[in-house]
Amino acid sequence: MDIKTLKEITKLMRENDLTEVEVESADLKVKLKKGSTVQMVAATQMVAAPGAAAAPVAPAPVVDEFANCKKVISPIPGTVYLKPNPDAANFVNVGSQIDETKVACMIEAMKVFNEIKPDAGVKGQIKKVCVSDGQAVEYGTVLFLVG
Amino acid sequence: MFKRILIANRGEIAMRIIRTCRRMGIETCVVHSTVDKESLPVRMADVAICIGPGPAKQSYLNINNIIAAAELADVDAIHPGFGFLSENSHFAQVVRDCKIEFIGPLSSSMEALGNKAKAKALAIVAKVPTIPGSVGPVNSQEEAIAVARKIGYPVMIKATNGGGGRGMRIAHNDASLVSGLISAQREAEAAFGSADCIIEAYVQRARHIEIQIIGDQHGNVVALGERDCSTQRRHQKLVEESPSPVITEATRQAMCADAVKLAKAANYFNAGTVEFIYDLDRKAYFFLEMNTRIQVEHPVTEMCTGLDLIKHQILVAAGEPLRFKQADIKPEGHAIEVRINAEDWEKGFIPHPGKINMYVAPSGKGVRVDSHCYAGYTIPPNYDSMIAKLIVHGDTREEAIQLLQLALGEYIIEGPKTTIGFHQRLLKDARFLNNQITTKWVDEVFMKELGVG
Repeated sequence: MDIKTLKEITKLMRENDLTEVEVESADLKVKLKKGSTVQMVAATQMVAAPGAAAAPVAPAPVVDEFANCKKVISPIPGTVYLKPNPDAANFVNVGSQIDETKVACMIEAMKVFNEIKPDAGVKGQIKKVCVSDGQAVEYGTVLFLVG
Repeated sequence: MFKRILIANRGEIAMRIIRTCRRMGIETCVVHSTVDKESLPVRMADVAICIGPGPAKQSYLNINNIIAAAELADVDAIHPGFGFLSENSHFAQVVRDCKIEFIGPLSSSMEALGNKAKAKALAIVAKVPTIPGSVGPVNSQEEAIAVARKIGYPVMIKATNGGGGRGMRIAHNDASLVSGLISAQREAEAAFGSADCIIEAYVQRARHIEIQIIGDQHGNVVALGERDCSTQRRHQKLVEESPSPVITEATRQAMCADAVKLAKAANYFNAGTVEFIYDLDRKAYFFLEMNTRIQVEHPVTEMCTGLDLIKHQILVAAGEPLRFKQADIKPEGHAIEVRINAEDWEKGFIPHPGKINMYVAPSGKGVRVDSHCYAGYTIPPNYDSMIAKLIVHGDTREEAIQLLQLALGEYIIEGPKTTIGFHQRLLKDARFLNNQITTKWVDEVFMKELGVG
């Protein structure tokens, strides 16, 4: 893998608004994440790199804008719905205020619609909606990030 | 046939069920706790759904979340394994109410047999031998002596309202019976408010012998032979083998016939085990209880009969009649299973979970390992400490024991402490080799000799 290829990949990312891309070749595995410097990861130990392609670079720190967010997680397996009914608006969107008294979404399990509210102490603004309408979720699936 | 089965269990038995489902071309869905995310069954199943955090109450015992997962994964049947909800009649009912098949007996059969007192009552009605004793409390010393002479000494005097070992006395003759009865009645009156005492046969030297049965939904029930599980520590089975080396063929046939009779009396179908206590001195067997699920030691029966019991459980649940008749069951050879747990046996079998750094299991003809463990796997502390079941099969008991010793010698598990060393000691003991052990032997003799608690 050479610098020309890397530049092409970053161009592709910009043009298609991709946040993260991972590319693997015989001797190298590269992960590019928007907003962070390039990380080079050597190929797995099982594959011997012919004449070691690139000297491993010390991984640069990755900036995670959601690092301090609290999570709203699913307490049950089921299907998540972001709106009370197909014609209505979403319960919450990015930017909405949320606390333990507000319904963030519904999860349908066993023909019963369960209203999902954040745990006590999870209060603030919705920073990220981590699931899509109608997605299957399990216990522990992160639904929203709140900050 | 079912298209997809949900396995409401974990560890070794989840692996066991997944393997048979794959052989039958049935898709698998495993529900698991957060702690079991990296476990082998979760990795092997076609679908895995997290249903709760580590504590079993919030995950493996969480009926709501298990049913929710069953719906989400659109399964046709649920296999409960053993432990957890496998003998929970309410769970079985909820599953069936949701139009999902429960791979096990009816809730009503579970209820009839689940309670020891109810099961004994059913056994008496079905004319299956139960521990002989007085019918109700004895009203006089003369009555007590008459009962004791009829059933034979030694006998146990038991407070009917008792528990915790209080109001219990053992008597070996008329004199100790009379004095024992007086003191038991006094103690019972003081502790439980009632002096009522029953007299029951006391089994001094017991063997635990159980019969594996399987029934279909068309009324057929077949016995698949016995398992002798007399090597126990604090009522936990350590070693199981088949056939039992201490009973005659006539006794074997009678026990099998009685086990089938009891199952039919409870309208039982699917796999089950009827447990008996065998009195070495009276040379008689008595019904103890019935387990309405597949058991840990089922591989012992599989090795002797050549049957895949999980497969037949699934076939029965799908409505198929049994593919064999009683006359077709001809167990061969001798099989022994040892349970290998992550326990420090030298310090009293203290649980010793943790990361397994190196894992090499034995193999070869007649050697079977049922396990969910691998090198790099961390045994979580939240559940039982079982690492693996090692089962061997030889032509004779001697050959099986030799195979077991070789296999245990090959088994490498580095990281947690295991009970492999304990089994190696046991297999060298003359009393085990000569079939002289009883259900109390490990606790009262062997552990004391080893100098372990």
